[in-house]
Amino acid sequence: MRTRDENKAQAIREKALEMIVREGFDGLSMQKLAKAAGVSPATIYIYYKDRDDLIVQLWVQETERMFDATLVDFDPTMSFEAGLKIQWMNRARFCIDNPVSADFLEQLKHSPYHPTAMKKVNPRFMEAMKEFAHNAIKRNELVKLPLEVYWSVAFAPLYSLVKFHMTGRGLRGTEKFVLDDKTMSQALKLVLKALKP
Amino acid sequence: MSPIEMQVLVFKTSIRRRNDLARVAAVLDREYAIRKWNVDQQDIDNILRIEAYELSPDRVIELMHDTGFQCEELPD
Repeated sequence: MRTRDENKAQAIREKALEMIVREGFDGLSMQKLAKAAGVSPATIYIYYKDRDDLIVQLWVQETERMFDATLVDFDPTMSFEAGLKIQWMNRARFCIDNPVSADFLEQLKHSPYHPTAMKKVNPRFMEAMKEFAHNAIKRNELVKLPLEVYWSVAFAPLYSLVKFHMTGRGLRGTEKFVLDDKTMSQALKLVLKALKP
Repeated sequence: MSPIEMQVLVFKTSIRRRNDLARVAAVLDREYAIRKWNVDQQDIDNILRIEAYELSPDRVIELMHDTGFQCEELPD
């Protein structure tokens, strides 16, 4: 009788994430993963049906972790400025503390796995984000935009700065770059201004 | 009282081709103890994975051999 072992399951998840981020989805095979995680291939199949199932389940789990981190101290009824500020802090912290997860989440978002994976995610986060934006529009703190335009203005600048911070270098590649509170506030202020009706 | 626990059985097989699956299905879909099964044909060992209640690995091996496939249980 095969039993579930949380240590083995954890090793499988960690190594799979590393392998996908380093070598892409095609670089992941159950055999290679088994070796890297120090388990037998049969053990991986206790938890996952096949490679695609593993990728989708991993994404759902990492996404839920990112969602939980983003919602800390956040409330969708907050003013747009206060709510966006908390989200910037939370999102930046998650990426900096979980670089492998953050890369993996980004990688899947632009892959054919995304539609399937999205259906398996708890809708709580999306609903909170939607409520937050709709409240802000009603209070005339936020201009009405297509979702992708809103997201690209509200969050993409932050992710761009976080990437500079994580490589530790600025655009010219030679100078140091640190995303400190002052830099973040400066960018956030401009984003708020851009999104104001 | 504990319910009967579900098992996952894992086998290395020679179920390589796409149309092999229909032959496997004809046999496994008739086994009442099997809840779900799939073959991972992306894997080098063409893994047959079975979720079942009270099913012996030997029974699966016998069924697969009778259908003309190699089949060997993978150790945990």
